[in-house]
Amino acid sequence: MNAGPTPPRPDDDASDPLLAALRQRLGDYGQAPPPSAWAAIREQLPPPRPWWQRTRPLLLLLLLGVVAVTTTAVLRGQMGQRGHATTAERQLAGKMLKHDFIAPNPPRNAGPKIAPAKSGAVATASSSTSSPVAASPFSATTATATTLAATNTLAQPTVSPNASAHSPTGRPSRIGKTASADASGLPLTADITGDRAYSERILKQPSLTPTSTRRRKTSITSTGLSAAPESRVKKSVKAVSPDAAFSIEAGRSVTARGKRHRTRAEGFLTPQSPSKQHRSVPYETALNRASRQAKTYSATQRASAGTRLQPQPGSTELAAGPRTSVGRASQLDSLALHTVALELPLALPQPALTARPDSVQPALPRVGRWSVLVLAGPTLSYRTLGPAPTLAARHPDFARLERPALGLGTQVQVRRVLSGRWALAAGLGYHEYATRLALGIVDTSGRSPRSVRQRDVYRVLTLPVQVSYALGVPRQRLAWGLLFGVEPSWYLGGRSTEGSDCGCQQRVYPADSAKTGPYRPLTLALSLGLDLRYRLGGPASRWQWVVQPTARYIITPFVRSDATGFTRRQPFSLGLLTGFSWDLH
Amino acid sequence: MPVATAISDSLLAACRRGEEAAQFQLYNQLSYSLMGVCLRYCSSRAEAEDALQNTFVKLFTRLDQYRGDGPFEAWARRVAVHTALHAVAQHRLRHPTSTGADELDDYAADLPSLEPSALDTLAADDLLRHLAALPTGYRTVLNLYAIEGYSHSEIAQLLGISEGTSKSQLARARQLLAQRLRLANYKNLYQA
Repeated sequence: MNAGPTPPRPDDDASDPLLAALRQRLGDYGQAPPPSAWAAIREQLPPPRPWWQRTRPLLLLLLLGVVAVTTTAVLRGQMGQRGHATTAERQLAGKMLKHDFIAPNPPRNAGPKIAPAKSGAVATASSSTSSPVAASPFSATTATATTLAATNTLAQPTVSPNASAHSPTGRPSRIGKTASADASGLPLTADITGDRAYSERILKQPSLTPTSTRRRKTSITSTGLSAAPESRVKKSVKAVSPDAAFSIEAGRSVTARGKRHRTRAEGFLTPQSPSKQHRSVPYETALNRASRQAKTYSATQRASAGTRLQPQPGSTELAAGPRTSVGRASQLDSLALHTVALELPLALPQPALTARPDSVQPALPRVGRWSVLVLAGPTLSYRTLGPAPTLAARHPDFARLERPALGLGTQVQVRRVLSGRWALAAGLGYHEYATRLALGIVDTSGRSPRSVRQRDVYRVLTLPVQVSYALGVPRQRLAWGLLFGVEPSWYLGGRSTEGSDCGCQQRVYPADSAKTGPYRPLTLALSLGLDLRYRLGGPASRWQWVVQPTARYIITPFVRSDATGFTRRQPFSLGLLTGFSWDLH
Repeated sequence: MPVATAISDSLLAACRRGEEAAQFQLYNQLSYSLMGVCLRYCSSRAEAEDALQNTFVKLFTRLDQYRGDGPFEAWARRVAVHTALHAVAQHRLRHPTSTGADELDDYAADLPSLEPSALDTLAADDLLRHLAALPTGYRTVLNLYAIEGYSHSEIAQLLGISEGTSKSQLARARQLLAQRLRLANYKNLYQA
């Protein structure tokens, strides 16, 4: 319905004064509708859809992205964690056997158990698990890690992960399944042009000639590349078969026919316009290769060319065994009949150039180049771990048992719109990377286990520098784009379970000890996310509601290399920062 | 008569979201001219008002079909033309009585030919009244050809008639309207 009448009309009677007068008098004629018309129209209109239905595709896309990033990060972390944890458990099991500290395996889902206290205190970390590593008594039904306490006099608590905590060896069994991506490609058919009539027209083009500038097809015959007659071009696409490879191979070995066809082939390839050359590069390469090989063959090689022919799968003629030279020659001649044509990619139809009537440029809202953003929101952070450290206290590396935890992120940014869709923002931010650890402390005196939940947190001051690229229709009320940037981060302090004697108590690592502490004072993070904006109060408003779901990953080492007893970790987070932007005109 | 202003993209976007204020603003900008379109095609004002309501309901519910190929006003006008034609067809189905397609005023043929300047002295409302008095088929073809600018082939495709029928109906409509305008002009001169 967008296409209207197309003046001038061939049958237009412009000289008719009555029609011209009618057009002049009534062309812009109008009347005010009755006042009740709008109410009647409103009654017939459907109610407006809520915002979550209008933005359903966007929300779905956002949800898929967050799920994909989260799944990838968690799987990657658990895959790295599993190998190290298994190694640590085996080493620890050997030590325990040496010290006769074999704890009885509790039944599945039995919960934390009290380890026998034969000689002093024993710290045991156990949790129900369904690990596939059944050879070890510590991983078949219960992952138990036992360590000797530093002293034998005091009753040290037995530390075991809660039943609710996941096992270090517990990992999704669907990792392999996720790798089975569909690798099937799209078939290249004539329909790819979207214009069947045009494709048929192309197929009906005259056969290829040396002077043809509208070449669409190149055929490969058994004697090399040559122009195919029109009748043979018709069946070109479907004619590609296992014989095709053999035909090309045979074309390199054929004597006189190869030379004759080579000359023809070279002839039609030379006079090509630059615009056509790029489409036929692969075919030219194959042709030149065939031509070069045909040139290097001597007469004796040509005579014995047939003996070098290897039967190909699907070639029933040559699979019967050795033949005589005459027979081979006849076979080679017969191969000439097997014309195999490859279809060049069909050219897309020329875009239809249509004249558009002049229209008044719609008034677009002003764009403030400078704006100030204030963002804050929750983050879900986790970490990737390096190899297990050498622990002097000989307790398990409980860092493997950490789970993602919620944190906080805030930012104040100044943003400037660059040319086009690009914008640059820089500012100051605060970010928390946190993990949680749930342990069950089992006292060797036989008392009931005590649950301890800890939240390790690392606070950093960030200087985010982000580049955004606007997607969709620009300068609409709802705008969205991509965010990517870097964030130099200064360590402000935090508390961690790592570094304590039993591995189960938190210690505070403030910022003033950053130079000598286990964590590097300066790190660098990369960020990637979405920038969703909604202009509040109309097109001329300066206020925008901003939502930035952003992923951050610290790429530089977070733990000092000389920090003993600390696992190398790379924190990352998924944040949903929301806030407001105010345009500075 | 409201001042014609361009329909902004932001207004259309707000209408797509179903904002009532934006829809009312668009209605205010277009209702005057679209009412004139409906009046030219429909035989009565009540029928034209119904066609106008249906036109705006279509505009608001099918706004996603507007691809921005041209001015929105032109698209809305074409929607109004189609809606008015549909209303006329429905009216003809409900009232299949003849509207006097062959009622050529024989006595008007003897009157002197109409001067083009005679149209200038005729008010637009009077001209519209003469147009509405034409048989439906004549009026439709005359509107589409003379005012909307459709060609005979487009009219034939739109109305489901042949090009020859379109041409003949246009010729008869022109002849009939000229006769009636001559008669009206003669009466005015006689009364003066």
